[in-house]
Amino acid sequence: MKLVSISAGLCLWAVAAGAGTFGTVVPIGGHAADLALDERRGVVYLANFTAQRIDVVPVAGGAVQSSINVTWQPGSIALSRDGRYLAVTHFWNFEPPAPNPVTVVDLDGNVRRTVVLGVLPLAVAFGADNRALILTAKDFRLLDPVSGTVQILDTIEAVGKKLPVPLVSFPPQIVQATMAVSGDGQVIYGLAEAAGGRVLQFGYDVAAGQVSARNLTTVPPFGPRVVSVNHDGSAWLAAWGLFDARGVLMAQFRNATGAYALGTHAIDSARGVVYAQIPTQVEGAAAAPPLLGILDADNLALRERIRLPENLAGKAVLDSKGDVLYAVSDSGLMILPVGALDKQPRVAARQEALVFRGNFCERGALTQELEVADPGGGRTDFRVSVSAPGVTVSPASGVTPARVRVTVDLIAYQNRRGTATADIEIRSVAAVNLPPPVRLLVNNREPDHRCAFYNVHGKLVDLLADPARDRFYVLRQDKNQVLVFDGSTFSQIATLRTGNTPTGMAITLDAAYLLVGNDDSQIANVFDLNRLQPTEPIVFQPGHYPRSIAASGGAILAASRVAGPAHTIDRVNLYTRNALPLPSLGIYDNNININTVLVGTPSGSSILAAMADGRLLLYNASADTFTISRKDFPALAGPYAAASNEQFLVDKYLLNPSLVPLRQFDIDAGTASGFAFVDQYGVRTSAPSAPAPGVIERIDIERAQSVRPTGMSEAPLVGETGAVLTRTLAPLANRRSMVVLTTSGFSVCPWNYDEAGPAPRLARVLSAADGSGALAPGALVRIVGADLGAAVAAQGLPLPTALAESCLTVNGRLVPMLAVSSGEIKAQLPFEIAGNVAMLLRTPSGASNTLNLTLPAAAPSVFRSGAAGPLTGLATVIRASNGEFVTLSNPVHRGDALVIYGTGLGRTDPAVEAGLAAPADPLASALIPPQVELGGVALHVLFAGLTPGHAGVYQINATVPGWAPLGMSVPLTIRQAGQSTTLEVRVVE
Amino acid sequence: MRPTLLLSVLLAASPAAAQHWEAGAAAAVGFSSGRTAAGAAGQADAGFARGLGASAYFGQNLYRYFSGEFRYTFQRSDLRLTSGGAEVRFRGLSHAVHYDWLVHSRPAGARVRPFAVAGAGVKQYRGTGRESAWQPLSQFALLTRTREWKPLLNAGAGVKLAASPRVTFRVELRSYVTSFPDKVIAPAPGAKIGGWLHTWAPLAGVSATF
Repeated sequence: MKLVSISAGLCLWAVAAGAGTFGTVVPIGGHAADLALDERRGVVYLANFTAQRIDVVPVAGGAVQSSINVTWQPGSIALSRDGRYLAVTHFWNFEPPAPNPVTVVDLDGNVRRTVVLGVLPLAVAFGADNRALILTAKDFRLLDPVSGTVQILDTIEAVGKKLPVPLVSFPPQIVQATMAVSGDGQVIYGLAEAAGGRVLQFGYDVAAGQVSARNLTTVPPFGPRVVSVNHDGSAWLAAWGLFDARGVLMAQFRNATGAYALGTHAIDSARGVVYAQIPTQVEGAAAAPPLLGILDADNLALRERIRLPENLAGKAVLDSKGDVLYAVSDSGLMILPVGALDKQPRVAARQEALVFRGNFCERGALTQELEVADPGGGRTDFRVSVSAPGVTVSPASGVTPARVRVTVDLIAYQNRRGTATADIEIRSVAAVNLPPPVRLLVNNREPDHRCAFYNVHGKLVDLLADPARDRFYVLRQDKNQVLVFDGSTFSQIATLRTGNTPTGMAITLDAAYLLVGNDDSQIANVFDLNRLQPTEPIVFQPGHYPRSIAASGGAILAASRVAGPAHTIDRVNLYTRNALPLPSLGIYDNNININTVLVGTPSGSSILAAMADGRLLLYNASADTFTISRKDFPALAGPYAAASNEQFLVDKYLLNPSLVPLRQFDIDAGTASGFAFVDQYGVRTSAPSAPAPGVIERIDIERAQSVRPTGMSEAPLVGETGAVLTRTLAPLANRRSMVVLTTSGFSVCPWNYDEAGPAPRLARVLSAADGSGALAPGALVRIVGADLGAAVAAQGLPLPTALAESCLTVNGRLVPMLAVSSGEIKAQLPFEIAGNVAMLLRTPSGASNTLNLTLPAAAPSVFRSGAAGPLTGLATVIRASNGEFVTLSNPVHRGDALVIYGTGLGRTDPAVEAGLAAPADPLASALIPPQVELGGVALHVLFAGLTPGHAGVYQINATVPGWAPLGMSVPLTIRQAGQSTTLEVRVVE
Repeated sequence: MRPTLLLSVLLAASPAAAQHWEAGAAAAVGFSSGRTAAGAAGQADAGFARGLGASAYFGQNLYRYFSGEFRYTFQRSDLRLTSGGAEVRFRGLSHAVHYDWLVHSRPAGARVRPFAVAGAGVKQYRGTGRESAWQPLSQFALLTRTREWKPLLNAGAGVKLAASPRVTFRVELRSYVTSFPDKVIAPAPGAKIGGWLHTWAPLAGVSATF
């Protein structure tokens, strides 16, 4: 059973409780059927359908100022262009019978005239000629309000509900007809219910006095039953569709419920926006509060959502300046000062996404600032929340403008690979808008994971490389855009606007045009790739939504979702810019799966149609028809590609030119995402496949073998319900890079991504103090080997656990590093390890051999890093009296206090994490006290432990007794946990 | 003027002195002969720089031509290493205590009494300079802040001049000999410093006789 929620349905608006809303409600004590704005008089007329009156409300709001009582239910009203006449059509088809009148109110003379039509009037609108177009149940009529004469223009058939109606029925559901006029008064568009459940859609050219009409069958129902027109009549909204003057569906609201009496829209031509509340139904989605969407007027891309105090429920009109929107609402009238929206409290984040680039080898926290502001510059309260492990925000609430620090603790992501995503929600009590969440991306990659990722916000659904230019194109579906990127710098160089919900792209064989199919527009966009400009779109038949397009030498084909009995392949005529469904696919029915993708061979010789239900079709350009249809698989999903040699790849199957399966490229784990034929081999991406988040691999086509599968830094995108076949991999024409659509946006893999350098080799581990084999937990060590990484040193404390993309572990624990070079790594062993341990190094070139070590609890060694004059390699034994290294010329004296610096004294109390600076208060003392002897005479040890402010450096403070033996070379020995180190010093009196 | 005043004070302080005893003080300048510190890196001259000293003594006329005396001598003299034009100094001093026999050419009571002297005792050498981890020429020897005692022989000659029955002026030249102080000036590993250390010291003093 599907869980379907209908937004704004049954008042499940708990989330809106206490939140700010936009708009003022004027209750009228009835159900309004229509409204008209009288700017000259500063009032709005509301057709109070159930109360049988015209309520007059001041434009400033408040309460109903006065009412004009009428005899029958006012189903529609319109104000003449000169503002003198108010025409009211009455909807009454019950007992006692009414004469089907129209009331014309002379507002200047305060005189009424009743015009009897004899047939039920449904809607009325005034054109620029100051005459009213009236839609009746049988015809269109033109009413002169001055003389009261009526002229029949054309006959049609329209219906309204028969009264009485069931309870909880609203005027748009009863009258079912509406009209609206363009801003210049030259065009009137309207909707009505036709017989047989169809929709009558019509337009009236005022100057020509001609009506054109057509009947439509729509799914879902064609509501809200509202029409809005832009200023010059070139675009108009009817119910959930945006049409051009030809009646072409340029865009439609996605997932609309089609409810007649819920929602509205209005076009602001000057600002290029649409204000709309269109109820939607999304499976599994929570109920939404009443929201006013602000959308792009050309393709209905959503810009912003505004909270409303209640649902809108009928016609909406803007004042002449576009500053105030008046709309029929549940209570009667809602007044929305949209021109003053900037003065309303709102809240929004400056960034669409925050990307944290971590590393499997890194610990600690990464912090970025999220800027929260009121777009109008005001001070608005906000609260920020995020539900993701290891993510904190500070402050979590405040007043705009503010900077919120978002901190990600990478330890929480140590066991994850790839990019984890979460939403940062921004809420406000006072704000009237509903800000979109900020996308949080936390990438955690291993050193040998390849491909650099670039953050591109939004839902990316298709990828194409330009065969003739150093560019590639990414289809961003949520904003109805083609994003154009440079193939060398990977920076965005252009944005092209598409229809609504773009789904697939194709490039014409001459590489001159980019074609984009849309799932919510009955057009395919055409862009001139030389100028990166839109050109005239391709118009599809009503009900045909081109989802996938491909070009060949013979034809350009589109796989269309059809609001009808069968989805079809349509043939595109690029010259006439229209597309028609093929009557048949050669000998086959033109009846395809809704989930069909098309891909043409680079040579243009053929086009493959692959369907999610496992069927395949091949269009042969030479024969100019479909020559092959097969079904060898129960279902198909994942990548699809076509090669110049007429081979094809769909899902994991390699097909020959007859679409006969040749080979099967099985995948070990995860889901295949993208595929491309590159020279004599294939390249495939898949996700997820442990331990890597994504894998890119070459496929030996002849042997059907994977060659050098390589981990990617984040997962490629995979298909989803409704779009199971994916194109996410594009080798660029420059043959330097391959682009992959991935979690954060896209990733760029070098062409030779799998040409790895030599894997690192670990040879031995030595004490960093004296080069001996004395190793212990927490000790500073030198790891000697080859190809260990590029030369780089840590910048300070705490020590990083990832350096030069090298990552060292001991028994799986991260090892903080001081410096990396090709032949040596200086690092501090973790404190938590002891006994037999295994060391492993990961670099971009791969993982090293495992080096097994045995670590006693402690193994002291004294640094030989001292220098004095030309002397180097001096033992770091310091005489406290003069602060200089003990040497032959600065010998130990009896009674001296010595400070011996070394490493390997093991764990301490309190414990200190490796890589961090040791504390000064309290001092971290060695858990196992060392013994220090000078010539066999014990020194009095005052302190032995970590040197404050350093990592892995220990010191022993000791005093020399008065009876210490003298000599030029007296052994100084440190013993601890059965281990010892000895050096010789000169001792004098 | 200042020596005259000092002399007056001494005279006043010894009004009842007898002539069998002599107590005095002298100023000295010490000149040491360096020794060669030889090592693989070459050789250097190791020893002490010229230094001022002071001495006090107490003697007795034992016989007509013989007398004996105890003497303490302090000398401030830097430890020194030179090689190839380079020189390193390290502050130092010495204390010497010895008993000497004096043979006079003229009997007691003579106004002028030349004499020869020889004796033995001990001498402490001390390095007092500031130590540092790096000392130039340390490939030859290490000038060390420490002390060491050495047996001492000394010999010399001089003359006493009786200014009055109670006051005698005295000048002399002495040679002090000890084995080389190889702890204070320690040969570097691989280097050797051998032999005796001679110090020549002219002294001039005044003594009271009683």
